[in-house]
Amino acid sequence: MGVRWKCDLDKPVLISNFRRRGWIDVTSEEDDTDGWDLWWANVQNIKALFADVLTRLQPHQRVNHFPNHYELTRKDLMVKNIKRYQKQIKREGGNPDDLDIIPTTFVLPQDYMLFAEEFRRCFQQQHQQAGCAGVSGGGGGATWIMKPSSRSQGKGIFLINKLSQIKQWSGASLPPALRSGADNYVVSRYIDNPLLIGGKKFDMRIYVVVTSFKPLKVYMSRLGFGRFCNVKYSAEVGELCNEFMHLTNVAIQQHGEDYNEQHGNKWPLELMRLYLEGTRGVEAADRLFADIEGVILKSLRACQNIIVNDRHCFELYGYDIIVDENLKPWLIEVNASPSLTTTTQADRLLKHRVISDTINIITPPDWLAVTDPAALPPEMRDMDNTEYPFREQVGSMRLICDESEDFQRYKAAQQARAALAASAMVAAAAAMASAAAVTAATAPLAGGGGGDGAAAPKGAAFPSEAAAAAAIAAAEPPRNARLYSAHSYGSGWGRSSLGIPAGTRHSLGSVPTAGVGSAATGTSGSWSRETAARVVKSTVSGPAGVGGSGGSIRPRSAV
Amino acid sequence: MDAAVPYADTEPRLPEPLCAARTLLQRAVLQRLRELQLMVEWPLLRPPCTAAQMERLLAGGLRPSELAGVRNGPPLEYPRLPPSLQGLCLLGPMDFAVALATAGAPSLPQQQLAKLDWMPLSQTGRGGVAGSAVGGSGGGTGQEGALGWVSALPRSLGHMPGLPALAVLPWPAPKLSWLRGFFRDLNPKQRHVGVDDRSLPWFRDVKVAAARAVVSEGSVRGAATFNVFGVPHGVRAAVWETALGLRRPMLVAAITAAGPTSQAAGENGGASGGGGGGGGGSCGTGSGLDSSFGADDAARFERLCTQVLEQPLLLDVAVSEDVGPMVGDSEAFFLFEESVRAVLLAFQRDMNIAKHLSAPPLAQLHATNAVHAVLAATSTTAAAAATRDGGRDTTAAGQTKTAGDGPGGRKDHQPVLPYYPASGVLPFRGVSLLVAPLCYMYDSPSSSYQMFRALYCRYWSKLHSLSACGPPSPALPGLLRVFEALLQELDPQLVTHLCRLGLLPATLALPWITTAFSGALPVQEVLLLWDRIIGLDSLLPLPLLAAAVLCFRRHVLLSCTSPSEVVSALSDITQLRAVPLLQAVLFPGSGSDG
Repeated sequence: MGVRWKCDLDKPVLISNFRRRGWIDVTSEEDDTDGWDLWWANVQNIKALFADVLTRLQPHQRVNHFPNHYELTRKDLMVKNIKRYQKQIKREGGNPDDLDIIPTTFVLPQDYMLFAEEFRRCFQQQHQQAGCAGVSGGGGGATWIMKPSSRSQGKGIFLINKLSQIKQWSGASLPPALRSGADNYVVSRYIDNPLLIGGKKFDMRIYVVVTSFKPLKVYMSRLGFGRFCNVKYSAEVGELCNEFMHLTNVAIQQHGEDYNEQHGNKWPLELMRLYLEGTRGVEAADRLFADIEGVILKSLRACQNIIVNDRHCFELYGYDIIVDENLKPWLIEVNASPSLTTTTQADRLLKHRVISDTINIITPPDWLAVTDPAALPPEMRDMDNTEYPFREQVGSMRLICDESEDFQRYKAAQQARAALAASAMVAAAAAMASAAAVTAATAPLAGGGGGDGAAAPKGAAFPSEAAAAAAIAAAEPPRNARLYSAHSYGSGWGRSSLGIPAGTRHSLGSVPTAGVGSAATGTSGSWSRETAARVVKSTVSGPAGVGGSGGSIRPRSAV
Repeated sequence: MDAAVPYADTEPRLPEPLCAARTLLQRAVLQRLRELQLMVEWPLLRPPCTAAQMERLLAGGLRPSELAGVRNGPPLEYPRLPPSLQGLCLLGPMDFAVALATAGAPSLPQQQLAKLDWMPLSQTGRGGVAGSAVGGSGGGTGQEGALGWVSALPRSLGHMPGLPALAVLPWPAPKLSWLRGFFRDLNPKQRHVGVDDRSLPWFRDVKVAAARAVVSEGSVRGAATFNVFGVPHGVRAAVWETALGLRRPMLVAAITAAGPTSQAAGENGGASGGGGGGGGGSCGTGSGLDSSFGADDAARFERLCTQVLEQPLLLDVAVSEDVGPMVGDSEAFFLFEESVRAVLLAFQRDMNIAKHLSAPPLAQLHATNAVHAVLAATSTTAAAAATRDGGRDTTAAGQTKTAGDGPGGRKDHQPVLPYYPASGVLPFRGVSLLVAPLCYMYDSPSSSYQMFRALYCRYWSKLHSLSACGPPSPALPGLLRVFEALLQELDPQLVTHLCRLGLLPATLALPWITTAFSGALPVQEVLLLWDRIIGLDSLLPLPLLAAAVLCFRRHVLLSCTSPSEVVSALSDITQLRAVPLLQAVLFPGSGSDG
């Protein structure tokens, strides 16, 4: 008996993922409410499924949407929910500025009057500034972007800079009852200072998996891409109609003259991060990606209480985020069905991995037995049953939020274990340091290894690692001394000139590593499997040493 | 094109087969240029832009550097070559392979060699059936993809383990044991960026703090040592500048600069630029390369870009055609296409480069006769504005060398003709890939240009040279020699297998080595590898890594039954990580004592 799957979308990245696992395809079989375990449904079928009051999903069944996912993924409802959440936070005494995650937005036609007021206010503000600077305003006001509430792929989007351009939405012409919902638009302040790379505007597509809204449990993928415009960006008013310059949707861009089929104007998120680290500094890049994580969590919390939290449901969201010049991320839109159409080879690989990780996240432990082990990542094949529900890294996906009490308990227990081990390590390190001080002539270098461990920069966040580093540093003073002298660090290499704690200095470039033993133990000349695993870029190793069990240093080959 | 263009004979004591190879390649350069000229119908020098035209160009408020990189913008539209020839109009790794193979081949006597004509452009590269099948997968990765050179090699080479021309190098190839000593700092017992930062999250922060200390220290030696262990990406630019001596140390800056404006080359980017007027002038004339990037460097770059707009060259088309497929079609680099083009076009016009190269270039074309006159005219106007380094060059402009004149001699003692292009460096295929990774470190093309120029003069020029110099810092023939010897020592069985298939192992490594693995490995890994090159002040990591890749893929390679299978097995190495590979080949099984 295998896992029976249904799939409404004819996408190779989905189908191949199910097939690889050796699961059973029941897509084409007769409609049977109980005849499937996993259903990758389209939005219409979800609506039908949950509209039928007779449907009762079995405990083993999983579907890929929440019943009212549109509360987050329809542009007007998302705006409504976030605004309400902002008010709620203000009521509770929080800082509503923290929720400044979307550009100023109004729903038309309902909020037309509010919008008109805001538009005039911005207009005046701009003209005052322009007057001071002695620049002629050029006639137009600030730029706003109009989007239909429930259409995708950039259809129906246009930019405006005059109120008269949207007179038809003013609500004067028709009574509300006669207007169909399809005409609903949202109008947002246009981000007219986007971050440009190579002179081009882009937005980020970030994949997020939610397995539960209450308590909130969210994974975020480190895979993703920036979608770039073909044409260099310019804020000139005359270019407002050039959609190749302003709209990043692939559906639009691929009709552009300069669309390149080799890369599809998509830039991997990892390279974008590398670029930002290199040009803006490590801290700025780290902050940006932490901010993006914050934006995602805030948007999910905003509709946490609205969305029906059916435990059979999970959802893969495609977040669209624009970054401005000041490296502030703005949430543009959330997609419930991010495009699984693939344009290039790299695109296919990326989406295949995202889907694979998503399926791995939602796979209950009892499905593992009926899954082809070759399709599973190694760490899932032999995973402890107690750890399985609390996986913090699944392939490219990292757990960014889990509010469940079970998880909190699990983390607390883990931290307690780590703290215990760390204190033991510190004690051991101190003992070793004193022993080393006796034997080594370079005792000052190693002085007080234990104490320095606590002062290391990341000491608080990674107590076990830092303590371990201190322990190693303390245990190896002769070798350190040799290295320092061997490289003839010039006269200026006194301790004071470095300006960092002495304990940290041991790790500058010459700390011997622990636990490298099993990494490269092949017979010389032949290439052992461990070496191979270490050399080939690991697809599962996460950025943080998450889940380090018990506070001891894991051998690197195990990560 | 002019009837004859004499070469500068830059290294007279070259061993005979290398000399012959160089002659072959020089002939190839001429032929490529001639074919290119026929194809695009451009003269070597286009008629220059008039002042009125320039004024109109710059009226939009864009800087020259922003205009220079545009492929088909308002200044000028570079003619497009047919897709099958894109990027092939420059000399490439396969030309090197063929030249080194034929020049030293025992079956080819020298007289026959003299008559050997270079293969036409259309027959090289992506021509063959097998080549196009393989080339598709290798597309923008800088892999040579095609098998054109396999068929171009003499049949008699099928059973030779190495390129015959390399056998004459006047030094013994280093053994693995020697390399182990040379690379002792790569020992996995040390923590390295590129290995340990993946598993130890605190390691990067510690290294960043240490890098800042190294930079503020300003010691070239200290920064180089730091480089060997890898640099975290965010501070890479500053550390490299320090290690390459581009960043004036705090003390020197304080002494030489009169004004208080240039206090320190402390933190990020060009702090001492303000005082460039006084201090930069006196200091800059010394070597021309040793000020940190500031306003005067940016201004110099803008002037070079202005020259690009004023005086289009035939070679610009060739460079542009290299940038297109290598950078414009690459997923990692496409955003930087215009920056890279601007950098390379400006590089061609920089007259300060020729005297700073660490290895003599393959061929230097002297601008003669008509070409010369135009070239001299433009360089005078440019030099008048520039930092007056070019004064010597312009005085020499009056004396025209006649065609067929002998070796140019030492340019230090004797007035020198301007080169075509002015940098004296004929671009090599894949040269754009040597610029592109720098765009991940610098936002402005001007800074990328300064760094590229420094790296090219110090390191990359050796990749495009036939100089016979040996370890510790060999040029291309030496690197190939090291590679051959190393692979033979590491894995004789693999060498035998490849030879049986009719493949010279060195030809497999050539595309990687000539682009310093850029385009073949992911950007992060390329930069980590370059860290080690700068840190060790040697290009030896390149052949070492090439041998390591072959050894690592040995099981796949041994199961290959045809040359095209081998090429496709090596066409995608993007999943490999540079530093662990280097460690694994140097120190197999080490670390078990830890």
